[in-house]
Amino acid sequence: MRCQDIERLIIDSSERKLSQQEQRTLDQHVNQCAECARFQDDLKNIQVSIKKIPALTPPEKLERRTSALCHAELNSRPASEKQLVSQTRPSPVPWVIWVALISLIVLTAFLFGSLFKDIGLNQPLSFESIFVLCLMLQNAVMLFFAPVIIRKYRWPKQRARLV
Amino acid sequence: MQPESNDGTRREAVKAQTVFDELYGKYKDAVFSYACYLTQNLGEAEDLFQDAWLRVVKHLPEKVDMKSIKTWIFTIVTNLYRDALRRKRVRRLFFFQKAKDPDLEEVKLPWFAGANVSDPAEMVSHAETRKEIVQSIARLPERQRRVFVLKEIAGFQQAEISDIMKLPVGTVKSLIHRAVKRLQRELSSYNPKGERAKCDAKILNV
Repeated sequence: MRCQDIERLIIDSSERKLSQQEQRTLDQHVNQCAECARFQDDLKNIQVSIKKIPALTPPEKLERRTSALCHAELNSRPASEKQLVSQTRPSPVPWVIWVALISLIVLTAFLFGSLFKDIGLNQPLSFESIFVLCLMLQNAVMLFFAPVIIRKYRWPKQRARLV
Repeated sequence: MQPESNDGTRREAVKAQTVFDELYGKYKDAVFSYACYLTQNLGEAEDLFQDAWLRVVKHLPEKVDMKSIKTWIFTIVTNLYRDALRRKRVRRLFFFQKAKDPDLEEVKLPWFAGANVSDPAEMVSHAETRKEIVQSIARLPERQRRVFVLKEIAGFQQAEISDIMKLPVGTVKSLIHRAVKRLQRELSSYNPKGERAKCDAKILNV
């Protein structure tokens, strides 16, 4: 067995009882190998030292506040599973948003035509073409922020940060 | 029909509160310790502690299996910590901040407050040892630290750690092994006994 396997066996021995054969192999190896013996000693020392470190307890204020918040959360729990589902499911996207998005896409596509015509004919950009470009820019900005706005609308503010 | 369902709901709420009180009383210290070792920062540990318990309460299962509940709670803490770490990384990326070097960073946590030792000299040496160990654990790489703390401080078995961290048991074993090796290396430079052992090993090898 390699030293690495023995070291893993040493780690295992702190958590479970080794089989007789494993124990014998371990003892034989440790008797011959100073590095593994040191590893065993060091692991034991580390474990003993860690045990001496006093357990940390949460500050009393934090403990009380967390407990109060959790009790409040439990009291505000929905009465039934159905209520829970209706609370966690997002509300549907309102039809106004769908109509606005579709009309924006149709309008952009329609105005896109005149812009391409201008560019294709190598003509100076007309007022409509500049308008289309501005509209496209506005649409791009809106589509960039749309997910954020829709998410905020669909998922009502869960809970203010409880401090 | 309505009063009956109200009674049922109230009974459920009372039951859930009893279960929560039991869990909170039993695991709050362990969760707080784990949060401190993970974050190495008291403020962040407090936030993590509070968020974790709120998450526990939100998803408290109807039938609580007390055997696996500790694993479940620690999984929640680990996942929340992982999320917080991800957010921190994104924030650092946005603001072009550099990650703090754990070797230079001093851990400021209440472990060093003082032990229950009467002799002042002994108290100082206790505090020093504690400080060295906690600093060495803090310097461990992220995954090694999580696994090591779960094993040695929270007292989980390797199979349970693999459930919490969602890693194969072999990887958990390897991470623990590497963590112990690194701690051994770091602590032997402080520990005179360790130094002596190292010299002994050299002599034996010659």
